[in-house]
Amino acid sequence: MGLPTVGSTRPRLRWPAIVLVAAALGYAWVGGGLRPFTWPAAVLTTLGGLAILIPAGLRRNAPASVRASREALVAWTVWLAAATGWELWALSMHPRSTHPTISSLLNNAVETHPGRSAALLAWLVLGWWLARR
Amino acid sequence: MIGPAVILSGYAALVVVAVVLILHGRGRPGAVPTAYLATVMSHPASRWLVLLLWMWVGWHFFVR
Repeated sequence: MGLPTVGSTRPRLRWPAIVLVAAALGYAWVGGGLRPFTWPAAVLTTLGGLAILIPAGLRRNAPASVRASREALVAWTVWLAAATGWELWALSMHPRSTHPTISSLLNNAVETHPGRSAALLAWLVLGWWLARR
Repeated sequence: MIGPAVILSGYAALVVVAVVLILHGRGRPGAVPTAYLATVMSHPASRWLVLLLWMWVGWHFFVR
């Protein structure tokens, strides 16, 4: 009675993970309230970037668990080149209102505090995911 | 004169092609985008290129 069960499969609370998620949510909410072209926005974005890049730099490169086939490498590289080319072509045209870029289209979504916070969180999660590759 | 419809159609076409590529690669582990990314990220130089690109995206949207 009241003794700990040896070999219990009950999941333990992972406090470091909970703290990290809370920190990321807080970071996104605070960062989402900052205006572009300001020092606080520059500092906070840099800190978020470094929080991802430094652990990524310390991590050793792991071999790809599943390597892309030659056909997939060609197809996705061509797709990326086409997307980059299209974006740069739109960027070279003016005015922006009639020649939208991906950035100008997404800017509407990140104009509000919640939208900006969600985008900041998505950016952070993407960086964390990439750093673990 | 090229209007917004042409440019937006180009983005839509890119999305359609990406969806077709993803569907075409279903069931083949080497054909999915994550395998492409894993291959790119397995090389130190391209891994850093992708990570720096990610950093630039953050700077582009949230700072500038």
